[in-house]
Amino acid sequence: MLIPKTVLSNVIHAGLSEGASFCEIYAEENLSSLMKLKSSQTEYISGKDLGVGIRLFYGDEELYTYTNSLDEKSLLKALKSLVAGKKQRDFQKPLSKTPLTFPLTHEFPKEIKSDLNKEKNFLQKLDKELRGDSLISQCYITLNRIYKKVQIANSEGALTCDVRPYFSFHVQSIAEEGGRKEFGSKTVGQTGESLFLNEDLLKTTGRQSNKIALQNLKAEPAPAGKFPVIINKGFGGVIFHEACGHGMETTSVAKKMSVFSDKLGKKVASSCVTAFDDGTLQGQYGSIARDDEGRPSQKTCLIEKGILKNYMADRLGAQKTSYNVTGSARRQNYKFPPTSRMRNTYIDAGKSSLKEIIQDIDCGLFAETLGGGSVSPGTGNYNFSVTSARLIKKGRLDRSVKGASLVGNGLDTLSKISKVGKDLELAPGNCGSISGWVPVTVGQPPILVSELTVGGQKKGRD
Amino acid sequence: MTKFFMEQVKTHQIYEWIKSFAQKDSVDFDFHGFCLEQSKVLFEKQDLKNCTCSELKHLNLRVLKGDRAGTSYTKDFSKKSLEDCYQRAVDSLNFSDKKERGFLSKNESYKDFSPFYDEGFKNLTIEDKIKKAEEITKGSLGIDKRIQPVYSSVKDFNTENFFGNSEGSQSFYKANYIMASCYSLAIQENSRSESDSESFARNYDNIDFKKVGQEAALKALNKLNAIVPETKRYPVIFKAGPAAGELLLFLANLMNGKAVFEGASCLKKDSLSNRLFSKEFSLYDDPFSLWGFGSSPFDGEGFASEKTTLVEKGVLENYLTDSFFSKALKIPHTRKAFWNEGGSLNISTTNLLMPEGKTSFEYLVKEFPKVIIIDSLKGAGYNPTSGDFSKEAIGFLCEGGEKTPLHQFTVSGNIKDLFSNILKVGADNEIYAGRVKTPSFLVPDLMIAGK
Repeated sequence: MLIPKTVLSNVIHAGLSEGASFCEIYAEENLSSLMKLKSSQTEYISGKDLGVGIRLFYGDEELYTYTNSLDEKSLLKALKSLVAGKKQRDFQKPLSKTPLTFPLTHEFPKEIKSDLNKEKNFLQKLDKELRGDSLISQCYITLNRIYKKVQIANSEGALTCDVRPYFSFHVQSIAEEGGRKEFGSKTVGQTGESLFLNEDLLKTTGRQSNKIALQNLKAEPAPAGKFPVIINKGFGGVIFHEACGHGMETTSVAKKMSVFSDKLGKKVASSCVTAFDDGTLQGQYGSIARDDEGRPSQKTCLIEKGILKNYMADRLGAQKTSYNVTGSARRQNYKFPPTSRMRNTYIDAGKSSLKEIIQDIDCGLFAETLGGGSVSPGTGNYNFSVTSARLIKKGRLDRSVKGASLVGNGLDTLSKISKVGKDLELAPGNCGSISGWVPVTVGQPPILVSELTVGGQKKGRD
Repeated sequence: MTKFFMEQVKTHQIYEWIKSFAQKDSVDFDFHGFCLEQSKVLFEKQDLKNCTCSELKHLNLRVLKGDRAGTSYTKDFSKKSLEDCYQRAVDSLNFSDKKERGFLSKNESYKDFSPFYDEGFKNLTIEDKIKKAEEITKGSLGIDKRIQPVYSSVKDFNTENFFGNSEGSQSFYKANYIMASCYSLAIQENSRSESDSESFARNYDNIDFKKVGQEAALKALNKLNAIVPETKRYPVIFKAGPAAGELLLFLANLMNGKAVFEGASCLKKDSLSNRLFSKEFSLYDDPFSLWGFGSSPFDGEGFASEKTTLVEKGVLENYLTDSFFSKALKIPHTRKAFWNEGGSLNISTTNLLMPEGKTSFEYLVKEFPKVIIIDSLKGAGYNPTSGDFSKEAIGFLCEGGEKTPLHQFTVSGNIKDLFSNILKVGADNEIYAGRVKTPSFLVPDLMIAGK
């Protein structure tokens, strides 16, 4: 236990004594280990973060405090500083004098120690291989392990302990020729108890990063204008994540901020679109056994054949909207109160092969790999960068183009998805929002959007 | 906020403990730590959504032996935890073969930083801050009935930073700042538009909270019924604030000595002293600006901060460097080392300042019969290795005295070309993100993609 039960009980009781209708304590210890290889030299950093966040509800109002000190005196002091000066609210609840009894006795398992020498040797070998191509001038490889222990207790008597090991691996390659320089990158990530160095997977990741950099070196500037766009499988799913997913979180739905507010049961997408947010997928980067309010994770159907089925709700979001909680409360760490957030979000597989999708396009863009993006939930307008792409001419893939971005509106784009491929793939990423950065996966099979604005430096369709 | 935190941290004691650990192993060390008290009030429409108070500690520790460095970090300042942190740094030294040792600071003379701390701001209670946030909300919602859900926030930060190394250097400073911001959404039939505004100060009296809300609402209303522009090349004005500020931050990242050394920037060592940009353009990194929250009397390695000329009338004068990368590139040491919370020593800007020009914004707009004003840039879309960018933009089309709001379009180009083609600079400096002060500037020809 990070905090003994008696301390939890005393602090929660103190929170309720301040007139709060609900009190929650979230404690976290985070051991991180980062091995980086840059310019063929290894650097290793490890560190420890720990802290506690205390949350009080006064009806729909939320008060939050956090500290790095886990002892009772510090927690009570932090609580006092939070409520100091705040007027007692009208909706005070009668206080229970009975100490809370938490049923769970939980010991965290010991951290699995990785073999640092083995990892270092592997990274050095991979670096050498990736630099074997004479056009690759630089490689950055990072291998990141996080071992997070979480303890959540609340005034309803619930106590949850969870261990969340994360593993991520990122390669960035720079290719250079004749004074021109381009880059490529690729990431893999997973979570679960038994994380191991899957050397084949990591080698493939490095080679894919090189391939993107080399492809961009030969690429022409992307065209600008409106085109039919095929968004590739895997990380291409960031389009659904940004354009739609954020608008389905009760964080933005609650105050009718989102373009998806009041659309439950209504058609919001083309009939070929079915989409899920699933926190239960084994080993995926966005999977969680329990959410950050201690509830079991779920598989949530967001859209079924174009109809909006569910929103993603945390405790406060559910309280404000009356929608069901979905085990979606997430936060970066103890510095943030949790809000409704995505986990593993994807568009489900359809029926078309990639070849079938391409063959009907006269002039379009195949967005092969995508970078980051963002959305304004209030308007639904989104953007994301395309890190490698090819033109489509007369039903066939044509030359490579670089420097493209895509912009559009979430609802509009959903209605313009005209084909969904059969080859579903998931890819990891990190999502930043009101409760900080959380690991997620995005995913989809290749999809065709009949018309989308492509940003590029070149005018025209030639 | 009550005084409950800072007094507990005895920085001299921390120094003595770390010194004693390091002496046993005969290694050099330096560390950089901070204590932070923070409060945040967030309103969602007329309701208090969230109120946060926090206290945070952090210490980054670097041990140095020969030409190697090992680092670690901790949030716990007890002797046991610091010893644990020290041991992790030593372990890291053994697994690292990265030769990144610069030199340690010694006998530095630091500037008085007392103007950067206002004791009075701590007298405000949470309830006072809730009222300030309420003022922002009322300011925004009071403008027009088309203004819908609004987020208003008031945040304040109170930091105490300290530094020490095995050369006997020790220093600390206190600083505080306050940030008020508002996000407004305007809805009229099928049209939705959003905007935000922000204001920064070191004293609550220096922020007009109502005005912050009003500005966000007016900006959102002006963008209602936006259209998508035609895809073609246009003269473009990047407006003072978010649009111009984003571009300056991207350019400054390319001037990071680490990125230049590692080949991750499109700028090279021999780009220095060359006229790469328009003679209308100058850029400084200023660690002593009262308006800037990146201000600090010393950098992450304890060297006394200095104002750095990055670009003077188009000539690239300096890169941002720490002690190692200045040595590796054989260029001036500009003292910009910066620790992040993950235990990495990086290089960062403090506050960026682009000097104003002489042209009023109204005259900038009249330079061409048809011009696009970009108000803000969104999302990813920068490629540091080539300098290419393609970003979502929000703004206006100005033609024949008419101003039409635009959305769902992109602006694309190359950052070096963009700054070399600046035609005129406005006289309308604005602060962006609390760390960039920039005027508007006009670029005669950029690709816009819309319909």
